Amino acid sequence: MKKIIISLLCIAILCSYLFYRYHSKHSFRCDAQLISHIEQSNSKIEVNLHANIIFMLHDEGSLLLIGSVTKDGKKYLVNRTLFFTIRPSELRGINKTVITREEINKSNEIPEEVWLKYISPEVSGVEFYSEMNEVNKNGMLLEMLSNPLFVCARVEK
Amino acid sequence: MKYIINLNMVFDSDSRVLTLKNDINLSVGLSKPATRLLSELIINNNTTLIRDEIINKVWVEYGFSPSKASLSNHISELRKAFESLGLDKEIIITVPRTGFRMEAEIHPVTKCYESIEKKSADEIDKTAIDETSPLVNEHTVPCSENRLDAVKKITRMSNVGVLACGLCLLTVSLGGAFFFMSDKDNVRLVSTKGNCNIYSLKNIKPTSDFIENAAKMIDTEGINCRDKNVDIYYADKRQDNDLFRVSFMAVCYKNTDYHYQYCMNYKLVK
Repeated sequence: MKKIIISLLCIAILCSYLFYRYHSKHSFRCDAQLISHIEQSNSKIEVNLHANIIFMLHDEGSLLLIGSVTKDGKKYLVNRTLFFTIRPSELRGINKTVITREEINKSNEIPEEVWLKYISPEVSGVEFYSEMNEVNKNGMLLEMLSNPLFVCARVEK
Repeated sequence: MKYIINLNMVFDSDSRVLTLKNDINLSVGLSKPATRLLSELIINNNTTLIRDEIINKVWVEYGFSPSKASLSNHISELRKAFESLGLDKEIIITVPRTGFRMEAEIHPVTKCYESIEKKSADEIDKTAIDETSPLVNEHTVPCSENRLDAVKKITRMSNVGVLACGLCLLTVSLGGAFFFMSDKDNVRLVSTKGNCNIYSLKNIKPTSDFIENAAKMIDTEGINCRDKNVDIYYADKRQDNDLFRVSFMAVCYKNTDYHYQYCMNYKLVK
C-alpha cells in the first residue's frame, strides 16, 4: 500500500511539473529590444523598438511595439499593438499566424506606409507561417519562414 | 433470509418482499403462504416437489388446513409477482401430475456479504456473490471471520489491480508526453568569442563565413564579450540576393542563474 501511495505521489508531482511546463510554455510574457538598420530603395531606416509579446493559452497573443523609427533623418514615434492568433499548421513545429487587429496609440506617429513596409510582419488578416522555439532556459526564438524575427526573454515570476 | 434470484431480484423472506435488485422502488409484497412457498421452492431449487409435500411443509406444518386450490392460487401469486418485476422466463415449472419445480439461479445473501455490499462497489458485490456458495442449500453458510477476510482480500486485490492498471496507463501517457514535449535542439553552438557563445539558428552546420560574419556584426554593434556572459544567435539570410539580404543577431545577456535577463536583436537589411 505504501508503495502505491509513493508511486501515486511521484506521478502527481510529475503531472504537476508537466502541467507547469506546458502551461508556462503556452501562456507567457516575453520582452525584446529590436534594432534594425535597413538600407533599401535609396532610403535609410533605423528602427529602435521595445517589444512586449504576450502569448495566451487559447492560441492568442499580442505584440506591443514602442519606440522609434527614423527614415531618412525623420524620426517617428511608434506605439502600436498587434493582436494575433496562432495555430499549428500541417508542418511540425510551424504555426499559422494571423494578425487579427491593430491598436494604434495616440502617440504613434509612424506613417502607415512605413509601418507596413519595414516593421509589420504582415498586414492584418493575411495568414503567414511562423515558428517559435525555446532557446536556453527562458529564451524564445520567433521566426517567419524566411526571416528571423527576434529572440525574447521570457519574464518569469 | 435474503436470496438473489437470477441476479436481478432480491427475495427477503423476513419482510416478505420481492424487489428488483437495481431498483429498490420496484418491489412486490407477498402473502405469508406465498412467502413460505417461495422459500420452500428456493431451498429445493432445481428439484421437483410433489404437491402433497409442498402443502405439508407450507400449510400443515404451520397449522393450516391442506388445500390444493390454495397451492395453485399462491403459485399463481408468485408467477404474477415475478412477471410484474419483468422476469420473462418462467422459473416456477409445473410438473404435470406431480408438482412444481423452481429453475432459477439462486444466491443466498449472507450477513457478511450484506455488510460488505454497503461499502463496496457493484463489481465487488458481484465477486462476493460468486465467491459465496452458488447453491441455495448452502444458504446457511455462517458469516465467519475467514469468509469476511476472504471477501475483503478479494476487494483489496481488485483495488490493487485497478491501481496497478492506472499506474501503468499514467506511466505510458507521461512517457509519451515527455517524448513529444521534449525540447528539440533548435540551435547549434558554433563558436565562442570571449564570454560570448555564438549559435546558429538551425541545428545544421553553418557556412564557412558564418563565424567571420558573426564576429564582424558583434564588433559593429559593440557587443562586450569580455565582461558579460552572453549568448549570441546569428543568421545570414538570402546572402546571394541583390536585395533583401538580412543579417540577424540576437544578443541575450544572462543573469546569475543563467536565465536571460534581456535580449537585444540586431538586424541589417540591404
